[in-house]
Amino acid sequence: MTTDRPHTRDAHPGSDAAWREELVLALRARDVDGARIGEVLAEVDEHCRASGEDAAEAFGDPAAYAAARTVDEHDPSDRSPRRSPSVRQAVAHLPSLLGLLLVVACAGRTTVPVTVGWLLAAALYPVAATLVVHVVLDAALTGRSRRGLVVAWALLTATSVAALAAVLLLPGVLVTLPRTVALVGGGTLLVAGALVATRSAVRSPDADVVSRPWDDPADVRRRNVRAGVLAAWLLPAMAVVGYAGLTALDAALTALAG
Amino acid sequence: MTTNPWPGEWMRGVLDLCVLAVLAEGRTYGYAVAARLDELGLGTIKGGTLYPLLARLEEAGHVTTHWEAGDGGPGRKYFALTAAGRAALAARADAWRTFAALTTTITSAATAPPAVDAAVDAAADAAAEPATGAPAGRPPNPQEPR
Repeated sequence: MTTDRPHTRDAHPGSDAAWREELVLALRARDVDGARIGEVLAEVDEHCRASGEDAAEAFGDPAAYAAARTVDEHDPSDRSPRRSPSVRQAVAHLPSLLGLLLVVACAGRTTVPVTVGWLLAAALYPVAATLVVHVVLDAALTGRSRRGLVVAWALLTATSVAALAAVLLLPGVLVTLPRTVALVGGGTLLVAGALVATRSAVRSPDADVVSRPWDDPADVRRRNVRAGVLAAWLLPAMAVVGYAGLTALDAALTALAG
Repeated sequence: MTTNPWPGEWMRGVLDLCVLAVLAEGRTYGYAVAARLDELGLGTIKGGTLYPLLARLEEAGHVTTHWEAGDGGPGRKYFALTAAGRAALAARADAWRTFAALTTTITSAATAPPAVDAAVDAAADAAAEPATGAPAGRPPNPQEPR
């Protein structure tokens, strides 16, 4: 009769945690849903616990294992869109992003000049964010996560440089907003975007958290709703932090100058 | 730990059949299947090979799975053979036995001393006759004395 080997390792030692993260990323890149990812992870955990092996020893390269687990499910001729974000989805966040920039621009100012370069810079970020997600997921598919992160950082840096260049080279003022108008307008855009996203997250959660086979489905749905609501309020939270930080910095610089 | 004593291409051809055979002994979990195959002499089967195979068997309807609470752990996935799996095992095992007998015949004829040729011929005829869907008779051996 088969008996399990004595436990020689912790459930998730450091290297195994990194292995699991790479597996999750590689499975996500193959559009595997959270419940299935949770099941694959649970199998890995169970096998490692029983055999005393670590995940890399028992299952090999995480990207190759993700490919082996999806080889029959993923038809290469399938051209249906992946669940990874599209440019259109990212552009849908543009009003909220403009709200964020308006609110942050109010810190330490009495008026906010909205320039052509400023609007162009605001539009660059959703596109760059979409590209970054695609680069990271595609890198995970081939087991080159580290290279993917380097490319992602390079993309973000290039976007920031382009945004700065747009602001400096296109200074034509479209409209100058009083501080209160900019603050209320920006806040309204942010809150409206967050409320719409919250309503959507509660009614039909878009989030797909990793869940284990024995998890209560009601609890999994609650976690999906929570993840969606948290994501919905991310930009407003960033606006508050950015506004508070810049206001404090401005006050500190004024005090030092005085 | 046992290392794998058999060539990879042989294992690829026969592993799913051996896994079905182990599952025919009763429902069990992934590591126990690997350990049983090791115990039977097939060598170490890594999780990275075993679980995708089990997933394919599940997808084909040859096994069913369910999770049970584990001892001191979060859970354990059990695999059980279905009627379709049992039928697939019987059919493939029969074909495999025929194939193995045929290979034995071919290789024995090529390597055995002449004195045992007659016995080999008799064994080949016996192996080929009851086979379902197997090639009739043994293939001609150009090295065999007529």
